[in-house]
Amino acid sequence: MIPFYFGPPDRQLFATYHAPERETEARAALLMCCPFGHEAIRAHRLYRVLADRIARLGIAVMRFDFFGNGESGGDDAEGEMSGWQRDLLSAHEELMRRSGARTLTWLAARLGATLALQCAQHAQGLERVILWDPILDGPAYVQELHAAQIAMLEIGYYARNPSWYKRSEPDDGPAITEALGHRISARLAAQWAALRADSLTLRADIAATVLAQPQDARTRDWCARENAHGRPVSYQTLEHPVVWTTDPIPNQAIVPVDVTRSLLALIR
Amino acid sequence: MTNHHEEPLLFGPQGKLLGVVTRPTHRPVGDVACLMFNFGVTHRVGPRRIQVKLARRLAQQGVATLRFDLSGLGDSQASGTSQSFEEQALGDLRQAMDQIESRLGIRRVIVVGLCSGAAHGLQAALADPRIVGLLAFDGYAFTSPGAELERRLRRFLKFPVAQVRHWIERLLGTDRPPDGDLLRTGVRAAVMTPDRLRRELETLVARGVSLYLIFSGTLQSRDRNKDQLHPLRDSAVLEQLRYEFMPNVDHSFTEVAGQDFFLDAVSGWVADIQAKKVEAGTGAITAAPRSTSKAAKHLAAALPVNC
Repeated sequence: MIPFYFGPPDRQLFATYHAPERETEARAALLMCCPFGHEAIRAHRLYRVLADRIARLGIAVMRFDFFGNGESGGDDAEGEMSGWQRDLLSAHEELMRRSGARTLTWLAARLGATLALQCAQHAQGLERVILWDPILDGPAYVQELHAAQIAMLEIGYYARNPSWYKRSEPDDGPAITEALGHRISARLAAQWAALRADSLTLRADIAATVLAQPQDARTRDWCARENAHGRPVSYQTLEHPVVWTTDPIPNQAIVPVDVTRSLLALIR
Repeated sequence: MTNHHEEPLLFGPQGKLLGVVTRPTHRPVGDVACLMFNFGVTHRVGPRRIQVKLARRLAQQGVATLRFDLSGLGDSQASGTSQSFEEQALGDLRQAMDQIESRLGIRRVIVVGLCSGAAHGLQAALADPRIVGLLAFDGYAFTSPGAELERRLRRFLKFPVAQVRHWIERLLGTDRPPDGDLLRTGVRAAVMTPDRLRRELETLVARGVSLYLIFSGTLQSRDRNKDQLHPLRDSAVLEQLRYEFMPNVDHSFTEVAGQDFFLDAVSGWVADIQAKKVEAGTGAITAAPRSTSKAAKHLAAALPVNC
């Protein structure tokens, strides 16, 4: 594994490159896109373990942190969707260059999957995307983050503090300003407020596999709509114990074997 | 443009340990560096990225930092040895300090220990004279009976169903393994006692190590007279270190205002060590931490008087 920074001096992104551990004819490569903020920290170990195992299959892998996230440059509040889309495309080019692969697959979770949907059409050589628990509705995501923040504070202090609950509904006043320790800029809040499933679509020549919890009707419906429009989206349920917004602590699933097995089977 | 530069680093035997060095670019690097590592199994960025934020804040004041993952955690590989995790962690910390010394030319190191990191940091400080400062955030605590009773009451009121279940299991003896065997491995780890902690803190203070013990509002809801170290409250050693209860900072830094308060406090403490405001032979720092941000000033008003 090689850790490195890439990108322009004012937008340095941290990445790790896992060289393929054996040669294959396909010279395949996989780019792993993190979720947002705390969820990326939560998923770090799972991503690391997956990357190692995928590299053993003879596939080059690159993981990277979006700007304002993880080890990458920037403050929390500097991150927003259009900049992150550029980060993803920049990481795509970096992996192409490092691996010498002719085509790439993206594996993206949560908001990373949303970003993948938003910019896949601009990625030359992108053959396939694997989207896991994608965020397809911004206001619903904001509500989920807000509820998670309150739950975390209630567990943390064993008490209710009225100030934690102060937040107007997305269309009824000031938007979210922080989520699980991550500052949210007004621009990002506005982008989330406008994010809807019907604004997300894939290019027809990119194969897509979407993994979602069985109860996630929004994702199932979105896949059905994409198929109805002739776009090759394969929908699969993946029931798993990862609660994206919790801390990586004992009694919480960190690298669940069912998840690694399912994802490796898809990539193999 | 930023006023720091960050560089990844592979070090240790076979380059199995991964870290990131943050150093100032707008001023000379000072003669003291910070070392950060894992909070439980969270990788080196720390909960809510707090260690990245702290490293960049410290770079503004001329302090370089190495944050890294212990063997088998985050991006570092397992060591492949038969050492216990504690022995391995001590070895990893020594390797990290060797890197700070060889790459940055700095022999004075401040260790930032969050949660489980506080225990590793304490043992590392006892073993290595390069450590001149130790921050222990939610490290060892021996709470006063009153504060503990209040915590249990608050927890019961917040989660009554879970608590009834917990107490039934506890009364039946099925809830937890014997002390020192939390992972039910059959191997009993050394248990920290108040007396042992006092002796170890005294040893460090006598060596001139600056100690900063921070307790978050997650452990307890109040702190009236150093409640978190109740058996030690009459020890002279508690007057020779910095003890702070932060009621509005939770264990994993969930609120941004709490992060700002913590960052202000810690960067102020590090600045005092930089300025060598340490009284020889005591390790105590005379100046109180300065809170500069608006949020921090707001939170400071809520602190108990004795903090």
